[in-house]
Amino acid sequence: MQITFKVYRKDPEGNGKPGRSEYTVDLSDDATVMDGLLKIRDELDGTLAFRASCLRGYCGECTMRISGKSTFACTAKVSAFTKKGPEIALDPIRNIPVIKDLVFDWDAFLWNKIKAVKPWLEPREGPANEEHRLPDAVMKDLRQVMSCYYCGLCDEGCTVLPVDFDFLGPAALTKAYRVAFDPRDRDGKERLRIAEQPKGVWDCVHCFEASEHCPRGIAPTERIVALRDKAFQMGISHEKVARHHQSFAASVKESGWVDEGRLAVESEGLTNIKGLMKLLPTAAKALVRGKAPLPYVHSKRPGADRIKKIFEKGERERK
Amino acid sequence: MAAENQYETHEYDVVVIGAGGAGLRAAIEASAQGVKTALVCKSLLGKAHTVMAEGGIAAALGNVYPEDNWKVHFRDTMRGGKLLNNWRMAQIHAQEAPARVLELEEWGALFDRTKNGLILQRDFGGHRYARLAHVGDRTGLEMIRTLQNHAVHQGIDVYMECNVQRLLKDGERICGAFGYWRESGKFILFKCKAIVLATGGGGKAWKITSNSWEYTGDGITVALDAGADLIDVEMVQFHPTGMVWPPSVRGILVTEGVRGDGGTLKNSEGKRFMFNYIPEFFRAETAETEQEADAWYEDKKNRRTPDLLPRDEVARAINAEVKAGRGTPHGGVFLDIASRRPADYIKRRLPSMYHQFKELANVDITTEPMEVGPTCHYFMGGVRVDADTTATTVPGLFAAGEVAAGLHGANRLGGNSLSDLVVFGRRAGLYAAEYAKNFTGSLTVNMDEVEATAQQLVAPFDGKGGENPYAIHADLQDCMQTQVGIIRTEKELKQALDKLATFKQRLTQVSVEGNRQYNPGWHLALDLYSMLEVSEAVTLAAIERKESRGGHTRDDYPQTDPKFAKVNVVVRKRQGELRISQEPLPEMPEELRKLVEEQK
Repeated sequence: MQITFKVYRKDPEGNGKPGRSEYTVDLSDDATVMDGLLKIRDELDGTLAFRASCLRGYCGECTMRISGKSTFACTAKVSAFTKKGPEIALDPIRNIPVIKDLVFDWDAFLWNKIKAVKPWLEPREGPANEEHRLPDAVMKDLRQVMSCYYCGLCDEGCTVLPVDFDFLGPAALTKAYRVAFDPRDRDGKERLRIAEQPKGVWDCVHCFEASEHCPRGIAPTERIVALRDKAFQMGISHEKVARHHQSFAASVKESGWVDEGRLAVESEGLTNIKGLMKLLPTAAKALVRGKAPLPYVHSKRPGADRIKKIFEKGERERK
Repeated sequence: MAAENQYETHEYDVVVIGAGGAGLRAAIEASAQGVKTALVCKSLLGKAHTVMAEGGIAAALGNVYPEDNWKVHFRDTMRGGKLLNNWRMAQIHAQEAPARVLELEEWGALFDRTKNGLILQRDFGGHRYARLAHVGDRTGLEMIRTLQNHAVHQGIDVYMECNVQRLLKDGERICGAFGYWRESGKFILFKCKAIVLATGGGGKAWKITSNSWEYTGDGITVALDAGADLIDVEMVQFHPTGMVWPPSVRGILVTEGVRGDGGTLKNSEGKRFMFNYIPEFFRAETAETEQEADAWYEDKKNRRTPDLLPRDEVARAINAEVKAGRGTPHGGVFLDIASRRPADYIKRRLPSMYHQFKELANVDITTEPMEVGPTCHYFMGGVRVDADTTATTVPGLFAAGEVAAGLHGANRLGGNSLSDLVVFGRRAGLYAAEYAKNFTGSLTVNMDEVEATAQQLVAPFDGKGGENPYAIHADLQDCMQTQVGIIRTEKELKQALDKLATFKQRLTQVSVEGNRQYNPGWHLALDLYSMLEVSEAVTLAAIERKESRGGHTRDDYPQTDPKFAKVNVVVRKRQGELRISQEPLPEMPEELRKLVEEQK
C-alpha cells in the first residue's frame, strides 16, 4: 500500500526553521513505521535523521510520536495508524531539545537526570567473593524496575517537565527507587535524601501519565509515591515538605477542609521570617483579585466532627 | 600546530573504543588502575549490542549443579569450538568467569535466584550443566546497566555517538585515534598511550542478521589498517534460531533459552529432526531418543537433547531440512514450546520472547509454535590477541570481546559471550593501563596524516559519481548472504571476491547529500569502508580453509581435516593488500588435552 509520511524536519545548519517533508513509499500490509522510515532514508532522502538500533523494541532508541501517539517506530505497525487514510505524521517526542529532525538531545533529556540520582549500588560490606543470599521475591520487584529500556516514554508523558525541564522526571526517580529499595545497598537514608532533592519526588503531581506511557509496566508514578511514603515514614523528609504535610492534615482534621492561609504560613514555618516575607506578594495579589477576602476567616465545614473521627481512627490504627 | 588547533583534541592514557560489556569493563578496570581513561562509543551509552543479549552469562558457579567447575566449562568451550580455540584463553575464561559474575552482583546486577537465594543458572546448548546466570531473558540489559552505572560512578569520561575511523601510530606504537561526532559531524582527535578495541563484530554485512546497525566491523578494520593480525575470520556464527516472518523482522534473534527451557525443533511433518543430525564428535554425550532427550531436562545424568547441540550443528541441520523441502511456509522450521510447557511458565521464563512474537509477528508462543531459521549472529574470528594480556600484535593496542579472536575457536557456545566480555574486558583494561604506566617515552601524532584522513572522510560530500551508499550496502548484504553464507564453495567465494572489488570501486563514486550534522547517509558511506574490508578478509580466509569446521562449512570440502585442526588462518594488511597465511595453533598442555578428550 502507498503510505505518505509527513515528517518533522529541523536542520540547524540549513535554514534552521522547523518544517515538514512529505514522502510516499510503497509498504507491505504488515510493515512497521520503521520499515517506512528506512525505506525513505535508503531510497528517497539520505539526509533524514532518526535513531534506530535494535529494530525489535529492545533498545528504546526510535522513540517518536506517530500521528500523535508516542511509541517505538520499530514495533508500531503502519496499519494501526492508517485506518482514517494512508497518511502518517512523525514528530520527535515532547519535552526534549531536538538536535535534528527526529534526533533529540539524549544527555539533557534523560542521562544527566539519571546520573543525578546516583543510580549505582553502594553495596554493604560483606564477606568477599561470596554471594548474597536473597529471596527471589524481594528481587522480583527490583528486576521489574530495572527492566527499563531507557526509552524516555515516561518522561515524554510527564506533565511537570513541560513547565519545569529541570524536574528529575519519572525515569530518573524510578532509578532512585531501585537503589533505595535494594536490600544490598548500604545507606537507604542517603538514597531517600537524594530522591528528595529540589526537583525530585516532591515535584511530581501524580498525574499517572508516566505509568500510562511505560511500555514495560514499571509504573514510575507508583515508585515515586513509594519513595515519598518511605521518606516520610523514616522521618527524614525535607522540613518544609514535612511542615506542609503536617499543617495540611491538622487543618483538615480540625475544620474538615484545608485552610490555605494557614497552610502557606505553617509550611514556611512560623519563625522563618525570610520565608514568610516571600509570601507577602502572593498574599497581596490574592487580596487584589478577591481570592482572599478580608477579614480572613476559616470556618468549620458541616460534618467536620466526623472527619476528625476518621483521622483519630486512622491514627489509632497506625499505632 | 595550525592543523592541530583545527580539531577538538583530548589526551588520555587509555582510550577504550566501544561501550558494550567488554568496553565498559575495560574502562572500569583501566580507570581503577589510576590511569586517565576515556570511553568512546558509536551509539548512545547503554544501547550497545550487549543490551540485546538474552539468555545469560556462562560461569561455573555450581549453584544448580555442584558438580560443575571450571574444568567442565573449559572442556565444553573447547569442544564447542571444535578445538580451534586458544586453549589458554579458554582456561582463563572458565576460571575467571565466576568471579566476574559475583562482581557484577556486587555492582548491583539483579539475577534470578534459586530457592536458596543464590544466583540461578539455566541450560544452554553445548554446556554440560545448567550454567548460565540470567535475568529472565534480558541478561544483557541488566549487565550493561550495571556496568554503565558503575562506569559513571567512577567518573569515566564518556564520548557517545562518537565514531573512531583511524588508529594513529608513532612508528610501531599506538599514539592516538581520530574520528567524528555523529551529532555535529565535526572531527575529534584523541592522543593516548594505549587503546582498547571493544567494537564487536561485522554481521551487518549479511542480509539476514541479528546484528544492529553498529555492527559494521569498524574495530577489525582499524586494527587491520594499523597493521594488526586477524585470525579465524572465516568462522562466522549463524545462530540457528532467528525469526523468519514477517519480512521486516527476519533475522531477529530467538534465544537459545527457548530450547534450554524445553522447546524443541520440528519440521513441517511434525518430526523432531535433530535426532538425524547428531555428529560423531558429540554422539557419546547426546540422547538418541525423544524419551531420553526429555528425561535430560529433569535429570542431567541423562544424555542431553540434540536440540541443544552447539549452534553450528543446529544451524546446518535447519538449513538441510529446509533445503529438503521440509520447511515451514516461510522457509524456516518450527520451534515449539507451547505444547511442552504451561503458558505461565513460558511467560515467566521467556517474557521478552513472548512479547517479541506477540508484537512483531502476532504469534502467541504459549499456544502456537514459532517459525525460525538461521541468522548471522557472531564473529568468532577477529583481532589476534595474547591470551593473558589481550595485547594485539601492535604495541599499545589491546582488544577484548567479539572484536578479539581465540576464545571461541570455530564456534561459540551460547552464554560464553557475556562472560568473555567481562573476563577479557577486565584484562584488557588492566594490561592497557599497565602498558600506559610503564611507557615513559614520548609520542607524536603525525598531523599531516590526520589532515589527509580528514580529507578522505569528507570526500563523499564532494562525490560526483551518484552512487547511493544504501544501494551498495543492500548489494553487499545480498552477496555475503548468498555467497559467503552458512554453506560455502570455492566457486561462490571467488565470485564474492569479484563482487567485493566492484563494490569497492562503487564506493569511490559515492555521493552524499546535505551537511555534516547527523547525516546517516554519510555515516553509512564511512561504515561501508569497514564492512567491505571485513567482508574481503572473511571471504579470503574462507577460501583458504579447505575443510568444514564449526561456523565454516564448505560444500566442496565437507569433512574436517586434521591438517587444518592445527592452524589458524591469519589475515594481515601489507602495502595496502590483505595477505593470507596459515600459522600453527599454540600447543595445549597434556593435562588439559586429557580433559578435552574425555568422552562423556
